Parts: sequence; C-alpha cells; structure tokens
Amino acid sequence: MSEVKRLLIVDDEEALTFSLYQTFINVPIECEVLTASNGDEALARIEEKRFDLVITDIAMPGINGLDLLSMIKARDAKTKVIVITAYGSDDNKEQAYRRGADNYMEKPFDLYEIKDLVLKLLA
Amino acid sequence: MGNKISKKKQMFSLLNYKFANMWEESITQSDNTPVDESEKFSDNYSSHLLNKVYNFYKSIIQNLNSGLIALDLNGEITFVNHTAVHMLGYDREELLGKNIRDLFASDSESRKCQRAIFLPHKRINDREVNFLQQDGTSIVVGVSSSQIHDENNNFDGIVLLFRDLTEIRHLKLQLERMERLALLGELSAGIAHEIRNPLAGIRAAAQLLEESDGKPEFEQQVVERIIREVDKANKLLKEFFKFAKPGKPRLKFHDIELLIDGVYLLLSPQIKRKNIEFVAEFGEDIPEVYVDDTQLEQVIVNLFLNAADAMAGGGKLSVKTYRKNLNILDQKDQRIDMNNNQLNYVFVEITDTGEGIPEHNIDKIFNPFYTTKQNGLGLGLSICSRLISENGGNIDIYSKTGQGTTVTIALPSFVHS
Repeated sequence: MSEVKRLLIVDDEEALTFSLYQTFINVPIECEVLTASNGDEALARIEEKRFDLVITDIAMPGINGLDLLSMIKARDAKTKVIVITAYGSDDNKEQAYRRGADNYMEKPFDLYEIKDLVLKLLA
Repeated sequence: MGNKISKKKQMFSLLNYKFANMWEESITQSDNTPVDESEKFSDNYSSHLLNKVYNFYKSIIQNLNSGLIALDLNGEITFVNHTAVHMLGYDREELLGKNIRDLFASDSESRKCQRAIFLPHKRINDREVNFLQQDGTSIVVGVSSSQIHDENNNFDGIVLLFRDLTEIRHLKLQLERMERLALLGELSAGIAHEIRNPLAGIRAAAQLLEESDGKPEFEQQVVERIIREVDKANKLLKEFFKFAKPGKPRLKFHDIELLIDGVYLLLSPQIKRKNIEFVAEFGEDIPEVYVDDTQLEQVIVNLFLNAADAMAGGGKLSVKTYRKNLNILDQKDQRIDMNNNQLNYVFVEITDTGEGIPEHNIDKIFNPFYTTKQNGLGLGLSICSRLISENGGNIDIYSKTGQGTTVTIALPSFVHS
C-alpha cells in the first residue's frame, strides 16, 4: 500500500481553492488535501503536520506567500512548494526561485497543467 | 549751522558704532597715516563715509541673487536692482515709473497679488506668479512682499523680492510626470492582480465543469462560484472608478455635526454590536463646511467602519471637531472666490483605541489596493483621500501600534471677515 500524500492549498481566492481541492481529491494517488485562506492559517497547519506539497499564493493578508515559502523550506526542505500569483513580475519569480520554490505559475493558469505538475512532484 | 553739524556728528557716531571697520578705514589715509582727530567730523569725511555706507548697501542690493523692486503706493516702480533688470529683460529706465500691474502675465493674477500686498499689514510669501519679460515671454517667479513705512510709521511703499522659478517648476513638472507614471504602474499592477485573481478562480471552475461527471448539485456549486467571481471583479472595477474618477463634488454649506450624527445613526447597530463606545466632542462656533455632503458622508462611513474593524474586541470611537484659521493647507484652492470671506478649516478627528498601524505601513495606507484585511480591496482609504482632496480638504493619519489610530480631516469653510 502506497503512502498517503499530504497537500496544502493556500489562497484567499475561494473559487480557486475550491477548484484545486476538487481536482486533487480526485487524482489517481492517495492524497489528503487541506486548504488555508491566508498565510497565518497555513503556518498553523504546517506546524501541526508535515506536508509533501504546498501550493501558495503570494499576496495574502498576514504572512505573505514568499515568507511562508521560506518558513516551509526552513522547516523541511523536502516539502515541495508551487508558488502561484496574480502579480506576474520578474522580481516575484526570481524571489520565489531564490527562496527554493519548485515551480512558479502565474494566474490564471491551466488546471490540467497544475494537476500534471503536482503529480510529477509527488511521484 | 551749528545745529546741523551736531546732528551730523550724532549720525556719524551711530554709523561709527555700527560700522567700526569702515570707520577705521575711512580715517586712515592712503599712506596708512592716521587722520588728524580734528578732521574726523569734517564735511569731507562725513560725505566720504556716507558714500562708503551707501555703496556698501547698494552693492548688497544690486548683487542679491533675487530680483528686488520697490513700489510707491500707486504701484509704480521706484527702484529695481540689477537682478530684476536682468530677469525681466528691460532697461532700468523702462522699468522705473512702470506700474507693477503691467509686469503680470494675467490680469486676475495681478489683481489678486496687488490686493494681497497693498492691504495694510499684509504680505505674501513665495507666491508663484507669472511675470512678463520685455519680449512678451512669461517667467514663473516666487514673490515675497514687505511694506515700507516712513519715519512716522505711515505705510509708504512696497518692496517685492522675487526669484526665477522656471527651472524649479520644470523640474517639478518632470517629477510630477514621473510620479504619475510610477502611480500608473502601481495602479496597473494592482488592477491586474485584482482582476487576475477572480479570473484564475473562473478559469479553474470552468475547467472543473468541463471534467465534471454531470452531477447537477456539484455543477450548481461550481456555477455559483463562477458567478460570485464575476460579480467580485465587477465590484472591484466599480470601486476603482470611484477612486479614479469620483463624481464632481456638489459643494454647499453643511453643518458637520449633523453629517457626523447622521453617519453614526446609520452605523450605530454595528458599532454597538462590536461593543464600541461612541464619544462625540463637537467644538463651539464651528462654521458650516463647504463640501459635497454625500461624498463627505461616504468618507466618514469608511473611517468609522475602519475604526470598528480595528477594534475587534471593543473599544472607544471618539469624534472631535474644532476650527483653525489656516491658509497654508491649500494655497491653490481658488475654486471659489468669496468676497471678503476668508478661507478657514474645520478639523474632524476620528480616533479609535484599536490595534494601530505599524510605522512601516503608514506611508502605504493611502495607496490604492493596499490592504491588511482578509476580504479588503484596499480602495477605502485611497477613495477617502481622493474625495477629501476633491472637496478642497486634507486627510492625515497618526497611529501607534497597540494604542490606536487618529485620522484627521481638514475641511474648507468660509468665515465672513
């Protein structure tokens, strides 16, 4: 029996977290999916348990996605992080990769593309 | 004659006291031998010394790097220094006797300026006006005035000191253009972010529908989310247009106390529910404010709601009004020119005992799309600031983390003088 993968989706955009959640609970691997609507809530979840992959937005109230990324990587460098953002700037992209992001996607993105990417990173 | 000499002696004694060095020089002959004591007060030396003092003052005045013009009470030019002659491009003789009104590029500017400088005990400081040069081109100058009084303290004339601001204004315009571009960049990034977010939600939800196995209940949930996102994007654009292009204010005189009370009445259920005590301290003899009441109400509603949001665990919301005679706030405010009515400001202070704003965020607080709220658009305070400025007022914020925030609005009012 394969290990259950744990995935966290962090975004204050409810329609997007809902769609991502619905997508990942139906992937062909065993996956526990949790959501958080801001950085502080995400941090509380990360402190509670270990995640295999986190998808995080950048601009959020409280702790922003880039700081959250640094905290996740400092806690466990093996946790994969995909940064998603509606601020499509080179600076954000560079910062994300410099802080150890495994991928960076600009909104609006293709749902199938992020699904494939997550499956690849979790494999 | 004896009396005349004695007066001269007194005068020279005074000059001697003030200009000791000059005096020493003046009583030393060219071969460095001291002048005989008896010659010190002779007519020759008196006039020599007077000349020296005169030349000293003359050289100061002529070499000032500002233009200097003296006027008599009719506004006719009685003196100009080199710099003024050079800046205006006239010959000295052309300027002497000319009326100051002919130097202004516009009649209205000339009238306003003359009114300000010829009224007893009035003066202007660094007021920006346009002067006409001899060839008809206009230059921007910053003018300051002071009044001359004769020995009986009667108002006798005016001295105008002015400097060329053309280059400074050019740099200012360049800076403003750059600031506008930077703001435009910031705004575009903000709008892009706020629109792309719901777009991302809509796109993902639509793709989810595409993959759906036809469960009507689930599909309904997804469609509802799509509609919500479209409405959210539309609401954002509506709010943004309020900021970008607020309606032209319909200015009338209004009682500020009534406006504040009206807003409190509207919001009191929310305020009470949050366990917030409301305290109003209205100043005495507060003149009516000259504003658009709907726009001002919108600002006060926004500030009250912000204050309430900052006091999640309850607290005190205080409103205070007072007046101040300030003409410095908005010198460019010339939308209305009420005869003999002096521009005053009524101040409204709204203070909460909430969590306060960290110092590093204070500068960003009026920026569009800046928010610390979970569901905030970040347009509330930027709209407030824009509306207050459109109404000829000013808004300022002071905050201390853990202690609370005070927002002060200055609103124009006019008092009959």
